[in-house]
Amino acid sequence: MYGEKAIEVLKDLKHNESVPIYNQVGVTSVMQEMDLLYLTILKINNSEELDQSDPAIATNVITHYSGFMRNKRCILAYLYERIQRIKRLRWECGVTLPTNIEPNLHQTEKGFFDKYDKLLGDYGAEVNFDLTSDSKPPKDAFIEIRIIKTEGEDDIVLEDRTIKLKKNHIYYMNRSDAEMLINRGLAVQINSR
Amino acid sequence: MSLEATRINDDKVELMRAWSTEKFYPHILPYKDNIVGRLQEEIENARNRLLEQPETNLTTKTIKELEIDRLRFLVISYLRTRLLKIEKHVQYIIETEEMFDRLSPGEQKFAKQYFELQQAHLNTMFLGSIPDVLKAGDEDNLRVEPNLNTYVFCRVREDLGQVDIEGEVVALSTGDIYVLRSGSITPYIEQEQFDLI
Repeated sequence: MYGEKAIEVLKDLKHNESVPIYNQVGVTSVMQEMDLLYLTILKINNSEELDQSDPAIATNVITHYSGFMRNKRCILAYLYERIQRIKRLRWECGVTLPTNIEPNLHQTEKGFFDKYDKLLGDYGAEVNFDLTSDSKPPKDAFIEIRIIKTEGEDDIVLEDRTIKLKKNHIYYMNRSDAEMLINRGLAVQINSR
Repeated sequence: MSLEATRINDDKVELMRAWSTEKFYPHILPYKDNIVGRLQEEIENARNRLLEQPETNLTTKTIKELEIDRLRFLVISYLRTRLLKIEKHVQYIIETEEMFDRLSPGEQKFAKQYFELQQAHLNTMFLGSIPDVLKAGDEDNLRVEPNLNTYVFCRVREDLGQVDIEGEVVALSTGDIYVLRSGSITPYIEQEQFDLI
């Protein structure tokens, strides 16, 4: 049945909220089916024995054409939804792809992520804001955070002081500094409501 | 309050209205260039004021810092809401001059480049291998127009008397709140006579 393989490809996305492994095999087999449909249409159109005005022949062509377009829609939906999710990763996880998701991406999708990252960065530079920060309205001016990772021995430069962070220690600092550390993966917020 | 402080306050109120309306209205609205510019300056000034004259009273310090954070959130969220709307309807916005004109220069550049990125990606992954003959209608594959059939809460900003909205006569007085179909209130939104909440 034409179009079945395309549905299987789409099901990947239904069962997984994030970005599952790129289904190269699935997509290729749909494209092969599309080739087949296309060649069949060509053959019918170019045939000298078949009567083009015969409704049966015309219906044949239309069926194949519909199958082709259906496959095209499904694959486009698959690719489009994946890039929506990849964009969301940039907003939620920052400039590097999470290590558990990176292997799932097609090479071109990784390129998309990088180029989108640059786009966001350029626009952010123009408006002078990191648009991915401040994702929730602030409730407290100060946040408690716990350091989960330290980067080397360097002191961290905060807004009004420079301090040395110790792993597993808890610090109470203002919101923007805390958010910066959280976004860099160095700390987690505790007592969040 | 000084003249400057009054204007900043007015700007905050105005941006809050614009932000709220932008969140709920399907179409992109005109960019509030002046207000965003002044508030950005204010955020920096307020930060600098705090650094130069550190507040010793902890309560006051907390309040001042929170106020700056809240302003930051407002401006960033306004820009973010617009950017996500632009991404969603990028083809429609680029192709509709009236809508494209509502974008800031930075947003216009973003819109064009994002659209190019999206198209290039899809062409490379898939559309490039489709025979030209079967490409009819490809331009509109992912053209998403804003859905004007959403229902929104409107607050009336000025007295407008009895008005006909899609066959129903509605009395519009300042402060009234109505639930209306977003497509039916376009002129009121464009002339900023309604806020969306």
